[in-house]
Amino acid sequence: MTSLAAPTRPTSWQQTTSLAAGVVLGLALLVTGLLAGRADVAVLGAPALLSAAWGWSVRPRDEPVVVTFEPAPVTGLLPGELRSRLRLDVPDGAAPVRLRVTSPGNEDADVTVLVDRTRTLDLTTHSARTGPHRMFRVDHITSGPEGVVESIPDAAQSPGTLVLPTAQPLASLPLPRQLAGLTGPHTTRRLGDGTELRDVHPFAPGDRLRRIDWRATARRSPGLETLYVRRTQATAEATIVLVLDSRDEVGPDVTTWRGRGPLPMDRPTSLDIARHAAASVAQTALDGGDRVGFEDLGWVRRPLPPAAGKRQLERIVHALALAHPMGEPRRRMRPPQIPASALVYMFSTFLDDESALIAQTWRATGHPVVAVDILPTVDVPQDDPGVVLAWRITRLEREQRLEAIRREGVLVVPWTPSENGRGGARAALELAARQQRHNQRGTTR
Amino acid sequence: MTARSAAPPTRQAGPPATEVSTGPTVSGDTLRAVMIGATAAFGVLSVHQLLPSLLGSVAVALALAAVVAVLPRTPVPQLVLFVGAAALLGAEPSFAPVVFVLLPLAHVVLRSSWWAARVPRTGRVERAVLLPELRRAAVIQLACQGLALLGLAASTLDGSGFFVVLATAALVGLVVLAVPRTWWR
Repeated sequence: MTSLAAPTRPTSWQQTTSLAAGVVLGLALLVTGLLAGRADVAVLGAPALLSAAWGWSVRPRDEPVVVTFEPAPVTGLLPGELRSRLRLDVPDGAAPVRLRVTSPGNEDADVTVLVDRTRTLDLTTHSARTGPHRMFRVDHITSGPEGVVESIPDAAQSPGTLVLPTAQPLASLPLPRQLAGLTGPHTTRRLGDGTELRDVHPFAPGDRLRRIDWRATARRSPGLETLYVRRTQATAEATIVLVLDSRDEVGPDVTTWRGRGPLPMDRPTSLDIARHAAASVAQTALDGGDRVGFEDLGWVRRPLPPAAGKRQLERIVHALALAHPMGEPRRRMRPPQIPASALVYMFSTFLDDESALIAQTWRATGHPVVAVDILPTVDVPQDDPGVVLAWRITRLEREQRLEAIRREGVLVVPWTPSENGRGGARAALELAARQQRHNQRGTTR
Repeated sequence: MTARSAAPPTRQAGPPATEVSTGPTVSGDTLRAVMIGATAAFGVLSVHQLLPSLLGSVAVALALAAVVAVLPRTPVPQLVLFVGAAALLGAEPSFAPVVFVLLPLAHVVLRSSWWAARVPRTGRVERAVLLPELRRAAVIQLACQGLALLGLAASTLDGSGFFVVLATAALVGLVVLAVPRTWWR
């Protein structure tokens, strides 16, 4: 198994105050006992002296203590658990090693373990977060026998880990009004190669001979004056563009929104919800044979162009996991370009006007837009009137913003989990897909 | 950087705490309890040689135990042991037999305070770490009890000149053995 992290520097040993204190106590009791002529007092110093003598005589000498991280098996992990494996190599013989394992958002673990030359330990932390993680920092110190020497305290940092979002299965998704291409999973109203029968029509130049329906021809034209062909509806694919608003990342606690205090690790932030939601939409669309692209509003860079297949899902999931706020976001002069006839899924908290304006612009140019609200359930401390008032104003502005884009024809879906298979984002998207099919019955795609 | 897939937790993942796979462990609270108990017992037995009142001895012992509990770092336990040993000077016989009990207690106070100073209350220590410690302690106690027997013989037996010489030689040898060479070089 290869080590992911460079081993820490070798540690050397240093005397502890316990050695000096033990020797001084022993000598003090010996001298006191001899001066007072009391053997019992003198003998009481013996445990401290013998302990110090033993520890000093068998102390480890200048061998290094090496701490490295190894990849841990991911089997048997519960949801939200992250694991890493720590390897400890200590000098000759067995020695106790004290470890303080720190993981962001988790309580520290302080354990002292016996390491007989080499030992591996599994470290587990809990996190509801996705994206880049620095999982563990391990401060370690090794003690010699009787604690007379200790290694110089040192620390090791686990290698970075990218926690990918996980897709949840969705039933069906709204589709763009116009489907593109000549093949795909969706049936269009156009004539072409497909499986659904459109009509039976007299043979015309350009029709293939294998499409002649001999039964219909025999029925309608017994003298074979006219040949009849079965015409089918063409198939096509949908183009979906996922737009992630990674300009901000807010947690459930509004007091952390100004950057005060770390975001909790045990509850997902808005960006974590967006990653899971976008991965779910991407997987559902790609599994259905559609083309999916990805655009990040927080980073002006080359977007992922729409494509199909499992590799595209991997690219999108990695891009989602790596998306994060980077300083003060630059204001875009114009919205990102979206392929013609593409359906846009925008994942945003809608805490400012920019994402709503971009969604309205796309809607105005004819793109169907689904706005996925990724703001987590917010905890407001009721004992702070200032925070309560600020949240009230922010909430009202946000509701007005969402209402405005609703009026423009944007479908707004809050990304909430379903309870007992009911409600939630999955049901909302399925309902929107059904309504869309119902409304567009008879129209041409 | 490695990539791994993580499903969102279906519910809050309980109290978030980092976990380390270890063998059976002893808590920091247990180590403190042992330290306080040993210090209190050492205090009662030693101070009772000076104070005839058992209640007074217990009160002083509890005070000493409280000091060690609050400050288990060097040199507080050593000072407490010295105070307790100094109280033996007030004992009536020239060699108090209670020393045979005080020797293991003093050792437990020293080692448990060392651990308590390093392991926080919520910390854990593997039992496997403490087993070699107990083995060493048993060997050291064997030697200490032998020294105490020599001291008892030198103090109480008639014609004990031989034992006095033997005990003095043993104690000098112990000092030479214990003091690191680097201290006088």
